Amino acid sequence: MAAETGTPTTLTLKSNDDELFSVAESAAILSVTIRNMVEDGCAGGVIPLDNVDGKTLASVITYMNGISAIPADEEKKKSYRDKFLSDKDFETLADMVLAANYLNMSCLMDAVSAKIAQVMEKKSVGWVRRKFGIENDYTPEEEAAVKEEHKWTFEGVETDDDN
Amino acid sequence: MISQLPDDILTSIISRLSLTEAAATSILSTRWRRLWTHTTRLNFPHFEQQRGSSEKYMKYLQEIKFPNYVKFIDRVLDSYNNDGILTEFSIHMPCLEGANIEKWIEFALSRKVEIIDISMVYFINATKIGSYSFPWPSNTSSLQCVKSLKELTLGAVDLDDRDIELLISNFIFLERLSILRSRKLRNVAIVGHLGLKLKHLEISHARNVESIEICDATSLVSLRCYRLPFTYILRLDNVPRFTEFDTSDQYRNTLADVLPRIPSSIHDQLLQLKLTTAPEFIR
Repeated sequence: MAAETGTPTTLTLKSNDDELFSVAESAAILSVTIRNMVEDGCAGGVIPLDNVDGKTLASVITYMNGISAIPADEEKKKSYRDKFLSDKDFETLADMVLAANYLNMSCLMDAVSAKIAQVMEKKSVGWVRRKFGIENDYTPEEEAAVKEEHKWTFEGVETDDDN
Repeated sequence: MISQLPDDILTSIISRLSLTEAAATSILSTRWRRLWTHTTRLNFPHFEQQRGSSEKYMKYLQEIKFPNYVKFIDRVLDSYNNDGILTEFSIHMPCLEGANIEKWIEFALSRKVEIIDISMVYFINATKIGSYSFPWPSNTSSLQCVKSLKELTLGAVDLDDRDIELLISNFIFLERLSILRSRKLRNVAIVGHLGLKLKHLEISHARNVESIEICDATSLVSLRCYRLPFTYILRLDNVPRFTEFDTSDQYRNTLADVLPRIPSSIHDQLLQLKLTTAPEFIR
């Protein structure tokens, strides 16, 4: 809540690697997790965010400030989200989706999930396994069985020529 | 690493993929094998058919492709996890016999679905166009507690006037309703439903509609009516939020034709009028 003098309330957030960040309360409460803490009166001092590192938190705060500066216009918010995520690499996206989940920010969670899904689209099985760090623990027989069971899904997906 | 994310986050990612791509992730590893069955979006790929085809092709569509398509949907629903909550459910297919649409709708409603789109596409053989009546789930009393449904689109499903009444009074949290190509609609009345949440209504390509009457729809913002009979009558009363009217008629639709149709009760509140017409009728 902004003070009546017009000075916005500022919160201090602490990442799990002990970096401190100042952020306007009005932007920070996009996170339901932070909003609940504020409403419970825990916001007096420093708000510790045990599941988010400093690098990711800095990025999330950039997003919070950016999106809350846009008036209620879904189109503009969407294009801001697209632009914000456009230069993020895969590791960053994975960190962001974890942070968005922990902070309970459904709009960021949705946008990052959609972005990761977009990267996966039309990629070969081998590509996705490498990028996602997934170890194939199927036996050849099991893999053949799953492939057979889901035969209808493999039309239109690129063949896996480098695995 | 993406692979280290917990299951519910992976499910959120999978839900953003098309249904076939989501199911294809089952091949990645044993952990992924059943993850896709938690997807919150069941948007089935549209039934595809080529135009102007031979008798042989038609026979193939009817006797092989369509039954396989139905089997495919049934199988996906069978393998869907039991406690899942759905956000979207859509099926676009021709109206041929052998599909248990009631069961599908019941399935979606039981998963607290928010958006349903069931559209019957034209089957290439025009003489064989069928139509489904509205597939009310066999146990309509179960509808009483459906609070999840926010958007409903029904294409070429033959609703009659009473079905609309049932829809409106049962799906009380509905915000968007689109009824397309229903041939049985005649006098649509949405009257006296206090507390109705409906914001956007579309009734289009309903060739036998004689009148549309909407009264006391206090949340209604927009109405779209495309290609209705030229003679239909529109009545709007006590729709305080109503600001947008979107209308189109391929054959004759000039400003002089449309303006008298707009009820005088809303002249003062209309902010946006969209009129689409064939070029030769622009004067």
